[in-house]
Amino acid sequence: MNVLEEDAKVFGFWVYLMTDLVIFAVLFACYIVLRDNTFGGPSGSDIFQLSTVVAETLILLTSSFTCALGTRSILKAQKVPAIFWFAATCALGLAFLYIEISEFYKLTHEGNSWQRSGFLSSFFTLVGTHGFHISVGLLWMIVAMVRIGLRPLTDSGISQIYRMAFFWHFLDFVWIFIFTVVYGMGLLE
Amino acid sequence: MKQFKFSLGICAVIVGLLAIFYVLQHEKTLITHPKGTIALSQLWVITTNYILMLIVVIPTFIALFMIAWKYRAKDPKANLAKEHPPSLLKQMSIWLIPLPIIAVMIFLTWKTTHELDPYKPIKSDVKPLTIQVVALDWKWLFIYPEQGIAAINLIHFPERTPINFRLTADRSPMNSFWLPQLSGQIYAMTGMVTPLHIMADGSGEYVGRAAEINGKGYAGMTFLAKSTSQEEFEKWVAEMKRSPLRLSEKIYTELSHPSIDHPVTLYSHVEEDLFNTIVMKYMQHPTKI
Amino acid sequence: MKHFFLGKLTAHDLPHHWYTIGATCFMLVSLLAIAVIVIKTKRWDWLWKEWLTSTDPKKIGTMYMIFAAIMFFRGMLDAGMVWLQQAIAADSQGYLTATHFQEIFTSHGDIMVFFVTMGFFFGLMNWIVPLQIGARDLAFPFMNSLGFWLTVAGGLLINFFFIIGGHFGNTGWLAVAPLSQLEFNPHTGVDYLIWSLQLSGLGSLLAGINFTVTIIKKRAPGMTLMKIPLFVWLSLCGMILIISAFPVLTATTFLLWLDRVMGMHFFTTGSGGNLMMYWNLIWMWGHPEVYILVLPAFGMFAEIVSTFSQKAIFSYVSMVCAAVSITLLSYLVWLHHFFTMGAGANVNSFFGIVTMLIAIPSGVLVFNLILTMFKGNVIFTSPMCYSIGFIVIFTIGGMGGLTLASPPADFQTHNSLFLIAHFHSMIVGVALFGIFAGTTYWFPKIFGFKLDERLGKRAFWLWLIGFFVAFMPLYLLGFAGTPRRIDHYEASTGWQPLYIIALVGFVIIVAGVLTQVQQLFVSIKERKKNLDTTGDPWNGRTLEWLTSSPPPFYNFAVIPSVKSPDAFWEMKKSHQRPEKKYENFEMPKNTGMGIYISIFAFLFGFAIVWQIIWLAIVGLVGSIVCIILRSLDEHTEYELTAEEVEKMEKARVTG
Repeated sequence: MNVLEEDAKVFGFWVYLMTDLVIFAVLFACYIVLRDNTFGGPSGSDIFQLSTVVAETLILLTSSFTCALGTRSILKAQKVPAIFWFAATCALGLAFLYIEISEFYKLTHEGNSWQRSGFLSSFFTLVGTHGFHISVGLLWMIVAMVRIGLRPLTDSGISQIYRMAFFWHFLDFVWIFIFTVVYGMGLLE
Repeated sequence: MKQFKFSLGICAVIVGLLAIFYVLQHEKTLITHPKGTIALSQLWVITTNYILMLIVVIPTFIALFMIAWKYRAKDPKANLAKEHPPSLLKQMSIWLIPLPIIAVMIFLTWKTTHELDPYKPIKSDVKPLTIQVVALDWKWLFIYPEQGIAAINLIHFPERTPINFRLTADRSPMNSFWLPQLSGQIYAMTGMVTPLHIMADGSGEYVGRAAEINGKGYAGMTFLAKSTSQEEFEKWVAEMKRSPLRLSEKIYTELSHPSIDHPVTLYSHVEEDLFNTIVMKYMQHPTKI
Repeated sequence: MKHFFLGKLTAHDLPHHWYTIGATCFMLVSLLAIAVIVIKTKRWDWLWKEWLTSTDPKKIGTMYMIFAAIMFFRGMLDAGMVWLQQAIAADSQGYLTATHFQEIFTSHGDIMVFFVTMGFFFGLMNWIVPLQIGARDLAFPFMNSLGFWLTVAGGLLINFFFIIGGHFGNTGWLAVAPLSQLEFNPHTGVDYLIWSLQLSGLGSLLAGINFTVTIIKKRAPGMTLMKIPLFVWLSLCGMILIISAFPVLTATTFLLWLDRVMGMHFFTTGSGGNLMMYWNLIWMWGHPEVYILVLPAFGMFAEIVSTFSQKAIFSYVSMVCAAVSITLLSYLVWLHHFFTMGAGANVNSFFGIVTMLIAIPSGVLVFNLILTMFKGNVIFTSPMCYSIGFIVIFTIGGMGGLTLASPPADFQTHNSLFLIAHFHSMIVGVALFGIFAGTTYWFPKIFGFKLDERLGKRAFWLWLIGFFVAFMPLYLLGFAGTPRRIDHYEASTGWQPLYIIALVGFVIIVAGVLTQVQQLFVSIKERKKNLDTTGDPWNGRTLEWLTSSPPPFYNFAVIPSVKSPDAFWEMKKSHQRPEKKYENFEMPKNTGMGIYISIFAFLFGFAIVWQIIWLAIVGLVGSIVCIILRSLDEHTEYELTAEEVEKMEKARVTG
């Protein structure tokens, strides 16, 4: 596996991330258009809670940090610290998902599910798609940890972990927009 | 043999062009036989654009065929004289060929789009007539709010009078309202009101169509439009007021169920503010809980 | 219990119409026939190892083209049914119900766009792009195989409604809301449309990423971006459109599905949905898509005209500028597909003006080709004939496009047959003619022998004449005020004679297609007479002609280094021989993972259409497990040593 091949893989992964960004852009556009279409139901300021959002944001930002530490350990060929940091990232990711799913569950049981209005449809879909990506990232991370533990580190293996870290940081980046556009602007009204 | 095929080709092209001209001047070619001010202006736009384009296209075709003929390989293996790539200036100069024509077309587009905006009322001394249109599955409901009458798939209006259409739809997907001899189309959508302004030059009968697919009754969703003199129009309104049928809210609810090839139906009386009620059904003001 | 195992499926969903029974029988019999042939000739092993699991872009390219050709027959059948209905349905319902008619043209559009045109383009690109940039393979060989098989899975799903369901979408190829919503379309037809597009869309996206990375990262040494062949440039522009636009399609059709199945309100009438948003989103994808359909064809024509005029393209720089400006402008024009929705004069004129701007680079393209022929030595092979035909039809269609670009003119021509004539001029005159020309041009490289030229010319004339007879009446019908997609009309409109002439044109086109089939059979029979022994049958200019016909599986024993555009032409002029300095290199192994993942993806697609939750989970989990297994596979390549390569090269030359 020579250097040029890995360069192409990294570039290809960036291209894929851009396509994923376009999907999120569409969801953001829908959210912005449908934001006021509450059709008699609640609007953002009615259902968003600052504490929840701050917790989720802090958890995700910290997880990006632990992920970066894990990547650093891999570069130094330190398997055990790497697994530790990635496990911490997973734990934080799971905590994030737990809070998000609880928020969805609460809303649904109040009668404010995605079927209530255009606003709620776009909210659940945008935030839910991000949550789905987080789940995929977690799965990827678990597989990566198993691989680090059971196999010797190879160049291709390290390159894969790099890409997994990109993916995780990318999700953090998207969350910042969700935090601002969805919760921030909703709560400020 | 080659000469024969070539002559045959030229004849075919000439016959084709003649056939095209024949069809374009035929009275059944509605867009080239406008009967309203807007349609006439739109035809002017189409014609002007084509003339402008042909200024470039005809010489291009002539050049294409002359060059293809002149430079056909008489000896396929002949080596060309040393190739000199043309200068960058020459290469980029071909951008200038379409540029002036497109610039003129762009200017005209800006101007005519604003002049022929369907939202723009037609300037006239005559008082305009308002007709409200509700696109249903698969028929057109026309309401005359000032006269208090309504009809399915039929409208009359006086010639040389601005007609202000206000369109919406109910329990029907996206619709497009099209009277090609009087004006272009406009979409009729649920929960929204789109305006369209037309004026007929004289008397005539026109077939209006639905131009956006909306289900199985789509092809049959046609209506008849008649422009008449002012007296004849008033006579028609009086006749309508003698119709035994009244468009109450209950009748309207039945009407809004899907039906195909619905016959022309005339109503002497319309429920107060029916059009606005239909539009508002889909809107709900956001309320805070 | 039944609902759990079968979702929404009932016995009523088995075939019971004449066309579902007919199509099901046809598909099953064909499959059976192929299976019998493969088993009897004991070629299953060969088929699996040499073709199906191959990661060689040449093999994948050939499979793409065979698949696209099969889908082409389905698309043509749909077209014929539409033409026949419209020719006879004056004051009568014809032979098709309104709903069936609407389903036919919907599937015609989706099949021709997603599977035929894109399939052929990916096929030719797989073959030619690596050869033209001096590479051995695409950047991601496995992803290439996966993209192909996902497209096949989509193609299977789009035809599967014949067997189970009986209905396809009846909404037009873009499944516009709100017609595609559950209240107007309760059965599964629209869901089949959505999910077959999702599967093939994912395949296209993967191919788009693959080709982009390949062209950017895998060029031969010395080949800067301004030295790549124009086919590669135009393909790169097309691929950039794919990677930026296809995610919009994925997201938008997914949201439509959420509306239909999860009761959401993105594009519903009422409950806070926004119908117009669907139109904006779908056309934000749709407009770049139609440029994806034409840009690679432009590239093919540029090379064909240059080769057969025996002269370099008049202005390489202009072609690149034109391609890039068309690519950029195509993102800014989507609203011209719905001027009549009433966006107001300012918005409408902005989009109209930007649309007109695209005519400038399009014109530059045409002038470039004509000036290439000027002072050239033009040989009129059938690819060259198709190029002339392209210039004529593209210009006529372009005039139609400029008419539609002006909002006041568009108000009269929108959704009329004038629109149909315009875009078919582009798709037939540009995309299909490009495919025919490109396939003929590169056929000797791919299969080692030329196609019969006499039959090729006959097919060209039939297609050209057929096109004019079939589509000129449609331009005129547009002016007669004929809306599109109508299944019947009154005889008093006077439209029927024009519809009948159009049907005659279709018959001429069918004669052209049959001639092409005949050409294929005759050429195969007479291949020994038309062998390409030099690898350069047309006195070509670009690197693919450096290799033998067909090339060895590794394309180049030694990667050439390049100093200028038209690299091969320069090598011939300077009598430069490629160096014989062999090196070790790695080649990708075959893998069946692409097929397995696509099978699971198909099961997922089918299950989600019918809401069979357990099967959908099986499909999803299966795909994920396969992907994980593949990612853990460290032995996906094998090495070819310099000695082995030298031996193979010597054997090829002497043998």
